[in-house]
Amino acid sequence: MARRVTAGAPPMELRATQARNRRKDFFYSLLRTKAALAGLMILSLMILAAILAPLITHYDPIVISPPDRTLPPSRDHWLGTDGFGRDIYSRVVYGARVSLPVGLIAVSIAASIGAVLGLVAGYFGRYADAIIMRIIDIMLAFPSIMLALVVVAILGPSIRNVMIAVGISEIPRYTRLIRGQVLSARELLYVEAAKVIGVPTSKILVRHILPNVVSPVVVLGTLSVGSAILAAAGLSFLGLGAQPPRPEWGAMLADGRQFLSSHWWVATMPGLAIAITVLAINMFGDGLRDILDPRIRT
Amino acid sequence: MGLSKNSISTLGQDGFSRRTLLRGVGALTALGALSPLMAACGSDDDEPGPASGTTENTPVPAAQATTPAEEPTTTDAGDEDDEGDPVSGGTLTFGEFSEPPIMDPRVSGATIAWRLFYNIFDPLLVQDTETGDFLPGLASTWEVSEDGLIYTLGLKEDVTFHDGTDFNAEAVKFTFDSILEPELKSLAAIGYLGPYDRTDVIDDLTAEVHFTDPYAPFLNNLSHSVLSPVSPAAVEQHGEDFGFNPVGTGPFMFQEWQQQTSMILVRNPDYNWPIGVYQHEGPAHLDQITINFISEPTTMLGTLMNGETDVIDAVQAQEVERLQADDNFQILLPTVPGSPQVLPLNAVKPPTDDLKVRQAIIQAVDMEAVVDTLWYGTRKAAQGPLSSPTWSYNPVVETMYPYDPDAAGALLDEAGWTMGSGNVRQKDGENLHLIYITTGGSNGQAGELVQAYLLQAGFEVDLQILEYAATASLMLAGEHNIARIYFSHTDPVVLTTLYHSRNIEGTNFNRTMKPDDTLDEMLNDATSEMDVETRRTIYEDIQEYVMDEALIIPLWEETVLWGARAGVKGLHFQPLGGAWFYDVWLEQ
Amino acid sequence: MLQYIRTRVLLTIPVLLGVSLLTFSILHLIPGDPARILLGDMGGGAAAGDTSDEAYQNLREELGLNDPLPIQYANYLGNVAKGDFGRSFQTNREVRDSILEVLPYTLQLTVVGLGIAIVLGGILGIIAALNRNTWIDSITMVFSLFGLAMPSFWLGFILIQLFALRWTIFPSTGTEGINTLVLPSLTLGLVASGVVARLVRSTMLEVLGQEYVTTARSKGLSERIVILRHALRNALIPVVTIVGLQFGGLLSGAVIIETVFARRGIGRLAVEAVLRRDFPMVQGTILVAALGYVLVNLIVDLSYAWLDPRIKYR
Repeated sequence: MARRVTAGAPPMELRATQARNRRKDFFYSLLRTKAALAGLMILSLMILAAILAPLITHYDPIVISPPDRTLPPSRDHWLGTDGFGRDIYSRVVYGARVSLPVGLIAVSIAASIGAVLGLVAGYFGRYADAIIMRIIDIMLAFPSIMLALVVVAILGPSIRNVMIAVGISEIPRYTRLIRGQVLSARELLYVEAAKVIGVPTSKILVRHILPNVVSPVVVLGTLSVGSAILAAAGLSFLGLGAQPPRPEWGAMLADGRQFLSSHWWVATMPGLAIAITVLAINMFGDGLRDILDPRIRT
Repeated sequence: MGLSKNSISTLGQDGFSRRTLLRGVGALTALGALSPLMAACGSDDDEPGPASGTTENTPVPAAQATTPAEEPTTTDAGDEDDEGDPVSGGTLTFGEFSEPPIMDPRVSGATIAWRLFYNIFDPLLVQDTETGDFLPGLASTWEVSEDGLIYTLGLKEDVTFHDGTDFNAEAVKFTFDSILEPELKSLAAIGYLGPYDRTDVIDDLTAEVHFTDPYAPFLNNLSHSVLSPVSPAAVEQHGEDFGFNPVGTGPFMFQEWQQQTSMILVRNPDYNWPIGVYQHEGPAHLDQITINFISEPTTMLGTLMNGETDVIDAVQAQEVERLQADDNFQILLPTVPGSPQVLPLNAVKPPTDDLKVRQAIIQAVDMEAVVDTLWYGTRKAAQGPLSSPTWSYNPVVETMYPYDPDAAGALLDEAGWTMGSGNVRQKDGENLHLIYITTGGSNGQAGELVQAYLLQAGFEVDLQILEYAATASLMLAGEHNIARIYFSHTDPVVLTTLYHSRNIEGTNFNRTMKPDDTLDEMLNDATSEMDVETRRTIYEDIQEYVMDEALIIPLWEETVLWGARAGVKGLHFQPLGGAWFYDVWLEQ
Repeated sequence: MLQYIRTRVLLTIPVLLGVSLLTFSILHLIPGDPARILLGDMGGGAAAGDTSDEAYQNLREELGLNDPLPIQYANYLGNVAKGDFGRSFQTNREVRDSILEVLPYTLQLTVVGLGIAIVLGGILGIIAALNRNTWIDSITMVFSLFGLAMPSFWLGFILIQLFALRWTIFPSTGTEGINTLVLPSLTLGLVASGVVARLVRSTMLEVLGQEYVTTARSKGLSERIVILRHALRNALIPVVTIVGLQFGGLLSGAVIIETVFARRGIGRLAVEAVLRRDFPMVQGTILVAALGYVLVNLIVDLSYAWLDPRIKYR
């Protein structure tokens, strides 16, 4: 692969030295970024709703009731009912318990494995780098949806395996990002200095390299929680997602599509839930990026 | 799937809510004909039956008390009220749910291909769906030796293949012989040849087909499109690619096939040997048929509504009523004979190895309600191992297992499964646990509904909705208590496929998993019994036996949900639900 | 530079080998016997009237599934080296022919979709960057994010409902003619425009904050020239990146849209092949997708050098 010297992202000098100052005005900046704040608020509401689900709904999200099927939104059923007569509002709220973790866990899997691979490849270079990056190249060249598809096919369709599948297919992005950050951090003067005075490798990695890596990973991670939720929805559409009757938003949307022309709310409500969540995550992530990226701070 | 169970409990479900379910069920039965529109549909599994030959299949106008359809569900719903004379010309655009993998009748195992073959290839015989009689196809006479070992076919004269070569006894022999070649990888036709030995060409127009064992279903099989003669010259020319350049004797000629998109058939101008079911002489009315492959059911209906297609064969059930009320459209619902959709019960794996448990399972599910919920009255609940339009259908099965949760409970009590805490029955400290393996789409939705009833009866049900390929391996390994299968066929010989012990391994179409000598013997007898009435009796007994043993939960009888523009005239249907496009014409 | 290109081209070989080995291994890990699936017709009405175990065994033999795995893989590699991707289990058609037949349609979809994404996303991104931290910025970003936040199949169905059913302006399905391309490529374009807009915005901001731009400004160059000459050229970098990513993810991105619009393409081909355990077709489609990814990325990396003189290759 390219030895892309100084490609794209220039080294983030001053990062470590400024860490403490930054933390101080972090929240100030965050507040300043209205969109990010709005995103954060929506997300908090969603998480709160997921936690309080039993308190704020009065229908079981799973029990079917055919006579009540495809009822339009009303006082009884705020968002209407689905094809089996289940209350869509309850399902959307309970669905947050399924869909939000899907995004978070998939990203955690990707970021943690990606971080290890990226650190090793970036810091040790040479053979480790060559081997890891070839593997990453192979994974990247392998179409991600096919990767997710076969992982689910091997492990069986369940929400847990969807998380694993989406997580695995996202590993290369993190590995590359982190490797790039490590490469530039490694050249930093104080890291060189630490090496010269014999600080142990593990300590250098944790103390000096990792902090440089954290913020871009946080930004990418935040943003990809959204794309992970979408990827899971896509798998549901292809029939390889969560198992019914679990109220997973993607599966609800996919199931509801048959009613699009006759009972619009069945698909629209879970669709909106996904869109608003991902939107909120992205708004928040954008704000984070603005704040954490010193180059565009004004 | 332990995870999925956990999640259900974290979701705050404290057992299955009895009240909700009962309320649902009561209202459902009361409603009878359901008006509102709802779920179902989608997925390959809904792919309805193919076209095939027939037996003395009397198309029982399937008792459709619950059908909102104005037209009763019959196998031949043809537009008898055609106004005006047929007009020649025009292109029919046909929206088809699935794409045939290959257009070689000798090879293909896909139902959609079987249906399309009839347009390009003529079968040797054809069956009248009204009377059940066999009518001439490419064979004008046929004779069966008393011992059932030799079938003599007298062929029509002056029939030519689309490539101009003559159709004759050699072509019949060539077709049958080539089916047996291992390199051809025949999927279906090889099974329809039964214990085939050889074909002797007596003269140009007489072929003698020999069997090693008496083979009763063969006349029926000859009416199935997979045994339609192919042009030997074209096979010679195209070799392995014959399946993409099919050449037969049918009323339409293959012109073009764009993978994943469309197939174009054009009128055979020389056609003047209409097979027995056709309603006019000479070439077909239509100039051309464009078949558009539309694999997304939601998109499919839209194409009919906005005029992208003239006719489609996968209307979403919940939209049927709306289309019926609309003068611009017509809905036709031929029921498919053969095995209905059924859920085979694993008779060797606990707890379904216990007859009482199996019987209780069947009685615990209100299948009428399940089927109505799923299909809005367009399909009816099945009662036994054969669907009602199949020849030899035994109505006795209809009264064997009425929905009766109390009786189901009593059976389970007798079997030692007593109600424990959390509405789950237990025996010796073990929960009454079932593994239910099925595929997605309507089968998955049926799974959710059936699961709801079983939970109610005190079962613990692990419902696994998987892609077909994955279910196939699990079912072969016998991991299931409840599986699923659907097999359309015009002859009850389909029961051999589904219940003979030799199909447990290998093909694994027998998903009851239990070798049963009595059943095997009856099935063997029926296959070789040449006396029609005796054969019927054996099949009636087999159906009763299968239900006595409670080897399946019958789900629903498949119907093909055809929808067409009002201006499409002369639609009538092949025994297994495909359309005969030969008689179709377009109102100007 | 030539040296670099040569190295990169050589490096694709182990990558493609790795992809093929990975594909092969995965295919044999997935449960599901291709022969049995062929006989079963995907759970619909099934195939054989009364198929014997013999027929099933014959099928396995003829499909080459009875050979030891290493031999199967070696055979496959040998054939691929000769340009023979084998025949599909399902259709018995040459895998190569099938892929070549549908590939142009996926390319069409991707190119037009990307075109829409770049134009729309580019405009939104520039507007947002120039009006940073104003309500215009927020609105444009929220708008572009919304496209990004919608599951593409949902967006596709909504477009069908509106433009193919309510107002029959464009067909909902099909592959022939420019009309059929509108809705699918719009779906793809709207989704991708969000990504482009965000990248363009942040790059513009970055560039506008750079010293040379400040210098240019202080030299009294008009804002328009500053933006056109300096900022835009740099803003092209993320566009190139996204083009690379999208093309690399050609198959992944197209699968769902091709399914929704019943459009022919390599994405559908691949997914259906996985579901039907059509081994040769899975291997073929993944290999072609991987090859596409590798080539496009090579081109993308090279174009960075042209766009950003700071980037050097060795």
